[in-house]
Amino acid sequence: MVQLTSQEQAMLEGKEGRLKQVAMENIVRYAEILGARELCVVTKATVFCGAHNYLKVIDSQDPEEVFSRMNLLREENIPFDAIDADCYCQSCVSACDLTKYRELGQSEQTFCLNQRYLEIARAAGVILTGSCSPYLTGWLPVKGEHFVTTESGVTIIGNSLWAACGNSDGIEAAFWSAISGRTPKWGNHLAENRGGTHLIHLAAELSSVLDWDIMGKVVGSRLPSGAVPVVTGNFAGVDFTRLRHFLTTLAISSNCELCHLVGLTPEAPDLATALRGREPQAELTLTREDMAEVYQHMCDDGCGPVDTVSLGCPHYDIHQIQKVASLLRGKKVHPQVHLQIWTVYPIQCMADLNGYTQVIEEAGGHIYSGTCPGTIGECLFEQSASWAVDSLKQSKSIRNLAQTALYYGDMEHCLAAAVSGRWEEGYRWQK
Amino acid sequence: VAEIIQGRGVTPGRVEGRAFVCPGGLTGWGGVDPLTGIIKDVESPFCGQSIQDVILVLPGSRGSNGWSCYFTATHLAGKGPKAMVVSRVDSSVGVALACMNIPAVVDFAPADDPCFTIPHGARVIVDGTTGTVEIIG
Repeated sequence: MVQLTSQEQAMLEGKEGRLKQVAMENIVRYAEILGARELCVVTKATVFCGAHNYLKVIDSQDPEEVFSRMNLLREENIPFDAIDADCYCQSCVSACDLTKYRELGQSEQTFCLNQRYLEIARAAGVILTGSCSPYLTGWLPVKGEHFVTTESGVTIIGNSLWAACGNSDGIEAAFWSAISGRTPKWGNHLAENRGGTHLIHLAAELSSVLDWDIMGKVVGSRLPSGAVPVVTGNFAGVDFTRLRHFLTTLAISSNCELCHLVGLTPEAPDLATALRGREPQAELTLTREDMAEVYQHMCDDGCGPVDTVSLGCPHYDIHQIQKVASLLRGKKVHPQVHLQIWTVYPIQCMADLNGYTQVIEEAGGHIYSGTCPGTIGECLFEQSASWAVDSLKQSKSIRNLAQTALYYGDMEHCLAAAVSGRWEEGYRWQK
Repeated sequence: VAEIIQGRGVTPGRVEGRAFVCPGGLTGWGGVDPLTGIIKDVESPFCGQSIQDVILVLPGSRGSNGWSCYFTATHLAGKGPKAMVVSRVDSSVGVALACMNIPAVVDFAPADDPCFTIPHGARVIVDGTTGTVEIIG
């Protein structure tokens, strides 16, 4: 039985309107399934707005009807017209770039429908952002703050690097929480569940972003469901970019929501504290050979022509775009290559301000914001017979959705492929 | 004699069906086609197979936070599982079950872990009211 406060009970009884009532009904039902005893107040949320592909199972062009069926689980149409006033709520990636769609294989109809979804969300109080990386625009929950998010990378980053409290939940529950301001007090929202369960020793020296990206999958693929890894190793030279790649690939390769890096992350000043004094359930040592085994499944062998080079998964920050501009200055992207740089609107504005956009566009590249290839889906993948990407998450999305040649390497080699129009054997990791 | 394993029933209802046992879990986002119920995750040993009308047996969720929405969409398209049996509930599984409202049993003792006690393809009866899963053949 979930204990509710008087305010939560009033919401459940409909005293704050039908939308909040249904959101609270769903939160209570969710809490009962988890076995939660009470709810906690959510002050940060990201929600997944837009005409997303999976919504097509509802044969309707009416966003209100689709929202009610898919996100509220009700047959009646319930306007999405408000979120909790105290919840800082940004939108995750939508189905379209802010202005461009034809070059991404999308129809005007899709673009306009996506805009209608976004307009409803904006009017409800969602801050339109369009990013898987809300921290790039100031969405930063602090230690002990309860958050919900639609992005697995943000769940694990929030828990691990900031000691904020969040569960993976899901797209629907993020809306329920943003509307009601509540989530079940369960899982990572309780201090007693945040201790490490598995001890991981990184025997490999990790240097580049690509190293960390690959190692995330190595760790994730070895973890059982529900594990909280405690990682030891040489973390010299690590930065936020490396950690967000590591944690993002770790999250998508498992269901890991929290990872302690001993001596680095706030809840792991030392091994004993990270493990909360308990013995680990298992202990693993991971090596460069383990990384090589993972890598060979994520990057095609050999060399070949490249049609699309896609960078920015998770969305690039301004420093990464600065680096792209630096590497492209004075060069031309091969005329057969579609070079895509994915980011969020304010970062794109900073790229404009600093002249990076001009350099990238003069070279023949394109900056897109508010979405990503995995969200746009098959219509984008069908445009190309061969892709080069700099993130394992993007590589996995493409593998699942398209039959295409697929190369995975670092930013520098992906850009070299964009200029020459060819992926070379020497561009592979460790070559 | 049928073997019965006991968990925690979280969604009432009693159904019989074929167990589709995935000890490595299934990804939701990009891992299942909601319009067909076909598994698309190329890393899954079950890639190309359908989850329609099976008793889906999982250790927990796997992959993106977009887990529940893909199973919910599959359910709403009429291509989803008829029940779920989950070794240990996690938040993504909890949301999916809240959305799909299909019979479900979760949280088994390690010795009764359904991913290892139920043979793939076995016929089972899931009772989401009593929290039992009966392995009948």
